[in-house]
Amino acid sequence: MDIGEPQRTYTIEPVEDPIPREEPATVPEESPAEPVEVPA
Amino acid sequence: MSAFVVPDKISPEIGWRVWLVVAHEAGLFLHSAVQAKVQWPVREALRAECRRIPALEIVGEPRLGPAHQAPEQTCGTAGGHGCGIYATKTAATCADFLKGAYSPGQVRGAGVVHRVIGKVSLWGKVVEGELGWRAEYAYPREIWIPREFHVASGVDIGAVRPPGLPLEEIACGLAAYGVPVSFTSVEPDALAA
Repeated sequence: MDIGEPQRTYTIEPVEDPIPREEPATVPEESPAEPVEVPA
Repeated sequence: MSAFVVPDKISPEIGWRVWLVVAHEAGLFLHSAVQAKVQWPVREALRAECRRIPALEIVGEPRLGPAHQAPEQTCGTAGGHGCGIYATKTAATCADFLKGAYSPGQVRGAGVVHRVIGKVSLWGKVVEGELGWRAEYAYPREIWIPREFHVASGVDIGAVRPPGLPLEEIACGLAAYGVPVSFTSVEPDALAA
């Protein structure tokens, strides 16, 4: 692959990650517990 | 104490590349079109290294020079290719690689099922040339799958045959890289025009 004569050298430190990260698996929320009748 | 280096840029360069699509037992992987043994890892940056050949240094071959961190601006200037991960500034500059000038049928025993073009992010230490870059780190940014597979058949460079897998299956396999994957009907010659 021809990129021509080298002209300059520099450094790049991306602020945003160029690599797409896997999204964490979503954990289904537990259904709230049924209300329990408590004797008065 | 290590020196703090202030970067010259904070956004990656975006270049163009052509990759081989190679069917390994673990799935489909991108490989460099020229350095075909170089497999691009999924969701990990590819890091460049200078593959100088010690035997050539022993016999006084000067063109590869001493070991260095890739890419080095002077590497390859006396002949051969300089080190680093290559990408071009335009699709047209690398479109010839879609036409099968370099078309191994197999890489490390795994079959080459197609050849794709796409954009690539480049960062770390970067050497810029008139037509493209050589970089320390790279990761695919967007992939286009041509509907036809150009291969070298004997002396007939650029013969066309169906891809080694259905296009949809190739797209599903490459989706593991986590970047947009789409199809294109544009001929390499049209890209190069």
